[in-house]
Amino acid sequence: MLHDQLKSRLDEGQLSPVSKGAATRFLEGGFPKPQEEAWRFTNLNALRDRSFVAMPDANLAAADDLPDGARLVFYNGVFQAHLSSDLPQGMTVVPLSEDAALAARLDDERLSGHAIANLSVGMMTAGLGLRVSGDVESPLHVVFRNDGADTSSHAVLVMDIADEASCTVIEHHHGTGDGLSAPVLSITLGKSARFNHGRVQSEDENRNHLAVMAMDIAEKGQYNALSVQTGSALSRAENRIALKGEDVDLTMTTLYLANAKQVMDVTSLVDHQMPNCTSRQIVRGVLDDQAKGIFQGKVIVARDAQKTDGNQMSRTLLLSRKCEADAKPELEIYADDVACSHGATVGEIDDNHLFYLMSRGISKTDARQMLIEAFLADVLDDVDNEMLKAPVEASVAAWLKALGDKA
Amino acid sequence: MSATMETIRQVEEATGKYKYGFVTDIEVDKAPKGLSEDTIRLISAKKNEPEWMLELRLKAYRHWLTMEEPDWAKLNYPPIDYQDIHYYAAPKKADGPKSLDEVDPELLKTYEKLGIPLKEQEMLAGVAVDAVFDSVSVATTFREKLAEAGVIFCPISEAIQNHPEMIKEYLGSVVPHGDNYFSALNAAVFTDGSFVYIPKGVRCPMELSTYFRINEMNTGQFERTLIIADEGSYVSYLEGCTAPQRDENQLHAAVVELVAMTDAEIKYSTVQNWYPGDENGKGGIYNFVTKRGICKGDRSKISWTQVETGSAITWKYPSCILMGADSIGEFYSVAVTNNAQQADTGTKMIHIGPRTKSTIIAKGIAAGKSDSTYRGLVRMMPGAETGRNFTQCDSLLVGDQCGAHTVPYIVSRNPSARIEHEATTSRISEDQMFYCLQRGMTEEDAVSLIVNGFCKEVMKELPMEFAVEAQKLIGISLEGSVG
Amino acid sequence: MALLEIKDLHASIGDTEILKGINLTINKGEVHAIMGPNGSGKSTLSYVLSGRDGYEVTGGDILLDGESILELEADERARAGMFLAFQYPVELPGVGGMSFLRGAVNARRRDEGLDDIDNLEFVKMVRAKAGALGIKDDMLKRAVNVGFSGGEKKRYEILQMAMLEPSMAILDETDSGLDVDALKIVSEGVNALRGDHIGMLVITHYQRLLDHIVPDHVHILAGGKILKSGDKNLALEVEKTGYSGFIDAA
Repeated sequence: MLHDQLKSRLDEGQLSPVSKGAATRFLEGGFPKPQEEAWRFTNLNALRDRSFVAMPDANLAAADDLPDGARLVFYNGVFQAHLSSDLPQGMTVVPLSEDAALAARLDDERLSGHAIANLSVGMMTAGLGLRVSGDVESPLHVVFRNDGADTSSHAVLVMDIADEASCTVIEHHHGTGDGLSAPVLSITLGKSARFNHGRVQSEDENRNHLAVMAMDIAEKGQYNALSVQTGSALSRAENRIALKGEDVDLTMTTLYLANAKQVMDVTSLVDHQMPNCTSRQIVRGVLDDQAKGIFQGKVIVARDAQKTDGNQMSRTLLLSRKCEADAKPELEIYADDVACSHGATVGEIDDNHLFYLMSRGISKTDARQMLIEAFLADVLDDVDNEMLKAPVEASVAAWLKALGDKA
Repeated sequence: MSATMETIRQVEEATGKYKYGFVTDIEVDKAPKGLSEDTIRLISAKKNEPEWMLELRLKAYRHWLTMEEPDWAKLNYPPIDYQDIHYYAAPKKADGPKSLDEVDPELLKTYEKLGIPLKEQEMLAGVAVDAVFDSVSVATTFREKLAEAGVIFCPISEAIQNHPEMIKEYLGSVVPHGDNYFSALNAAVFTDGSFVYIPKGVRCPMELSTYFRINEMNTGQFERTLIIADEGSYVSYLEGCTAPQRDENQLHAAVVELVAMTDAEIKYSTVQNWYPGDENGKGGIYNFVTKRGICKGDRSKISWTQVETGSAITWKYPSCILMGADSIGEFYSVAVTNNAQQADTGTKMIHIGPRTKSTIIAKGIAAGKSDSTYRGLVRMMPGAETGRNFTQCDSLLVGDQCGAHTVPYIVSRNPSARIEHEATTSRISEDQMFYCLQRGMTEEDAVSLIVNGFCKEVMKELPMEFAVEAQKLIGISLEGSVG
Repeated sequence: MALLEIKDLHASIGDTEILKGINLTINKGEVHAIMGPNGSGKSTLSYVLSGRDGYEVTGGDILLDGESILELEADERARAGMFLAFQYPVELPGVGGMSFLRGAVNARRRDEGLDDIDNLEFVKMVRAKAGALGIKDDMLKRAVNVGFSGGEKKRYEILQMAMLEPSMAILDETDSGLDVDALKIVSEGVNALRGDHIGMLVITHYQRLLDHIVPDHVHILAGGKILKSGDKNLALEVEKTGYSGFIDAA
């Protein structure tokens, strides 16, 4: 049981101060309750009663399907040095236990105020730090591999991308069994640094996946993210991003594709603290069967963040009579000289479009498939970083193929 | 001079300070401060209510005791001491005037100051008015003419006596007492309000109107309004509110219920101008209001239009339950906040029936150090086949010390339903200001003009008499926000 | 007494000095043209005269009817008789044309201690003046400048000038964005307003506007200074030789 495990870890007195604080907070609050505004659409009651066990000594002897190129591998939340590759010039890893400065980043309010982050930081056994400097051309793949019934994974990765550095990092989350994956990422992007961030979550249909990321972006930082999630019974990918310097440029494209009885939650917070920053968020969801999709996106523009250009567009496509789409796009604005907007639409495939294709002789099934593909291709076409795009497109294609096969 | 012109003139006379901030000196019959079963028994007794009504009140009160004050809105205010409020205050002579001649002349003067010269309205404007002063309904004009059409328009306390069957059936049917903290409080202690019934096929021959006025110190106002539009009928209902200027905060917790039967239409317009508090946020009304309508029958329609310029705190979400097939819900809102005002307002559109449609147009204007939040829910239930919602929320910031927020909730459980939400935030551009100044307008006139332009889509939904007054009010409430 | 006197006027935007000592006197009944290349300070001059925020007068004076207007706000200057026809009139979404015009007219009347204009009289007046400029009723009903074509916007500026009856009108690049036909209508509108009661300052880059609105005096502005003044023939000279000749000479 997670509670017992956390308690005994606390009692043993071996925990670092950061983990100790986090464990204490989780033990007080437990899993978030549906009454909490941040969790109003995603109910974790089913997790509360489960007897998950974390595996602090998890060790995967070998794996033959790891991505080529530079990679870091976590197995059930524990860093696996022997499966990881050498890192490209400019990237170094360090255990968090040996880098107090990086470990301290986990004390950030956006994580210490988040129940799931507290759980994972409290459970952390081999948290990893990654420092990036200079221009790193080739992508780094970070593989989060999980398996086992009733097991829980608590991978913790703290990244520091130095001033003027640039890199591409792609997360791959995959696991089997009905356990819980709760990865925590803390990322600091230095002045004028450029970060391309990919993320593919394709856990098995029974797994639970609750990810939290906190990120700070300094002056002139450029953040470009593309992610897709297709896996898990219950999942949430939560980003909490602070724009802490001027002239930051942020683009986040998020896709979520759900079917069966999946509950899939995309939650983001973009906090504009300084002037002259731009943020663009594009979210596309496709829901089939009895799936429930949730999008919560909040944009804050602080008093000083004049000349902010912030926009967010969420569109959800419903394919079946029994799915449910919930959205809560939110603007909280305290500066007057800004151009901020958000939009959200929920609906099914446009009859007119369908008819147009069918009138050209295309079967209804094919026409539907084409339009769903187009709904996603529309945003993927705007992504010009091929390194990010390839794995996401592969995941989207697999999901669409399964959908087509069913029809 | 027509009543409308009278109103306009009076608003124009306003100096930019809150013009309704006078106190009327009349004898008052007040319940002691505090809330208990005894208070409720006293209110019920004062109203000469039947036993079943008292039971409803006590039930609501007991439920209220188990509830917690909601804290999810983006509002900050010190805790309300519910024991420090008078729950009943009535002008002494007001027990059942038969005509305007019997109403205390002091009261009539007050209404004249408010810009609702009852007599003139009765004669000229063709607007029937029910005026609620503190807690008691003092005069309902035009009753005879309405009665000819079969329309019932009377204080709700009277309806409890004269139309108990309708009250029993509909009171609390749209907003049950347990709905929320403030509706429970209202159900326990409401003292008066309006009751309207429009019979089948009748188009109400005139606009109906209620003016609410809080006069007494430390008095809460808890009015209750119930409007029933029977099959194929139509009614347009207007509501205006003012209160004197006081250093203490005063509580207003009203409940409005609308019921629209098959093919019926209810248009409900509010110009809310409760005392907003002074420049430093001292005083002002706490306005916690539950308004909800149900489109019960097919093709029925409920339209809420509100212009909210007053109150220190506004907590208000006029909503529509779209049950009948092809029923329509509309919400048009302008919320202006200045100085230290806070408004958290919006709507809920619950689509239940097939082909139901809703439109939400919300304009928030924040100036000074105020905060204005739009909070709205659109829910498409599984039966809302090809339901449609369109939502447009625009915020305008005047100055750099205020905040404007948009919090829409969207829940869709029907794939054929379509929901569209758009929101923007902007400010008055320097170019726009300079253009108006160059034509000789003062800064305040220019701001008022541009803001009214920004609100136009909503203002055009208001009945003419109200639109002019509302426009002036917006200008007045933004005074001092520039320069 | 001169209508408008600009005396050794220096003005800056931020730390950059744009106007570097302008001297110009305009009497009632006169039309002056200021010509100059891009960046010469033409638009700055129009904004400084009309009192736009963000333009700092660092030296000299501007007198209207013999009184300095430097301390007056933009709206006070407007009510004192200064009118600016904008190069790019701004859109005012939702603000109806009629209420805008009425607001502007009444602002001036109130200043003069007059009652607000009678509504019927106002509507008649607008219709008559709009008709002369080829502005249709439909356009008056729309929000100010919203969805207007370039030509419509400029005609609408001239309508406002006709309604407000200024003593000093500045026309800032009124020809920009106009085709030949629109230019003709706008010019005719302006010419109809010429007379002994008004002085005009026409700011333009090209000579072609001056074929239609023939000026009494022409000034060449470059680098924030008036390099040369003359009669209408000076404009023709510019047309032939371009601005470079004048700038090199100076």
